[in-house]
Amino acid sequence: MPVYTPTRLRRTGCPAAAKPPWLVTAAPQPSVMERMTRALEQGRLSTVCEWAVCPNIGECYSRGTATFLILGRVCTRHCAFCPLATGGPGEPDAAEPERVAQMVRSLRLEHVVITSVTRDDLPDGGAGHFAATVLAIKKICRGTSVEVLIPDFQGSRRAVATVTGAGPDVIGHNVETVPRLYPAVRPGAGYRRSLDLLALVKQTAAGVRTKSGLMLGLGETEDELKRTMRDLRRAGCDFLTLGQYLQPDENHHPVVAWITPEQFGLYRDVALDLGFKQVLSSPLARSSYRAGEMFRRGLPL
Amino acid sequence: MAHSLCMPKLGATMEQGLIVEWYRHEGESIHEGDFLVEVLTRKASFKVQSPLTGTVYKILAAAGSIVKVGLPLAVLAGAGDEEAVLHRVAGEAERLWTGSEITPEVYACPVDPPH
Repeated sequence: MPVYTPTRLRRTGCPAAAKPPWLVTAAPQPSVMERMTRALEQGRLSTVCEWAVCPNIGECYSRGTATFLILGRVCTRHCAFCPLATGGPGEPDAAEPERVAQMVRSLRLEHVVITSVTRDDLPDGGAGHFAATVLAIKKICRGTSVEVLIPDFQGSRRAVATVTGAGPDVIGHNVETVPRLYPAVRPGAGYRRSLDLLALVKQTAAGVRTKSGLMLGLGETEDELKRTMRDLRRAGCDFLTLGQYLQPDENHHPVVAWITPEQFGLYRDVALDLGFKQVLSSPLARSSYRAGEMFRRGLPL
Repeated sequence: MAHSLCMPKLGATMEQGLIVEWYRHEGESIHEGDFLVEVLTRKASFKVQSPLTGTVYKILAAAGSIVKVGLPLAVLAGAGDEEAVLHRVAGEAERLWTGSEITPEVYACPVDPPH
């Protein structure tokens, strides 16, 4: 695998400048940031863009799009890559689905991605809240396609049926990394459980597009990545995203490797050869990055 | 019109940012939209654009400084700005640093850069 040498480190004398230049993005203009922040505050809504400090926030907010984070901002798991707080979340806000729908309408989104923290504390894992959000959007935003990026619901068939029953257009669930790294990266999750969840979605709703994503640079090998891609295809996964892992802070899993754009390009070719319908593979690719374009290009299956 | 370029808030949990590199230096001409400075949050790196066409009058936070969100990084001069006005704006901007909980310091990388 090609190794990135941080030449900027020497030029600036600043250790943090070791980050490769291809990962540096344009900050949103203050007016763009203020407008979106105000709208979100008024709607009492959160975006994963802001809470996960996404590098694409400038591009997405400038285009007037965002990925909504429902069911609170406190997670019941403690994954080593995620900056969201861990602990005991409160009761779901029953009015949140309606507010999300209103925001989607006000932003005039053609495609929206909804995701959440993992809610192992709830009997249905939050599946009902996801379904209510999808239905609320579909009710007042006709023509808007809805993508949900769901937790594993601890493998619950009933939870999956609840979500698919609401009729989302895309159901995503990220495997995040290769199985060997699960104990270190996703200690509360199971690789097989995540694959089974994706397969279950297809069994439950054959027409829905399924999607998954991995973060690269956590220490996976090329062979492990290719095996994981094959596993995802066997689970019927349609769309794939591959992006560079970024460490939220020193308390999280370190970045083991900077994967070059060229290497991401090679992985995209491998994924397409394996039969994924759509693949987004680049350093700054994220699960919901340009999701609308991926969905539209992926029609029909 | 003289403008204080401040450390932007680029995420809900962002409280401070590191100045990685200035792309433009004091006295250089700039255009609206030009990338002026690279800022590192704990996770991501961003290039901050110039909001105006003019010159970089004064840089207040050198590369390697950690700066609290909202504090001024530089003073930018627009066309026709008088020296006296710029001097006053720069003075006001520098005073904002006084009493700040976070003072400029050289960043210590918490982990070895990956290979």
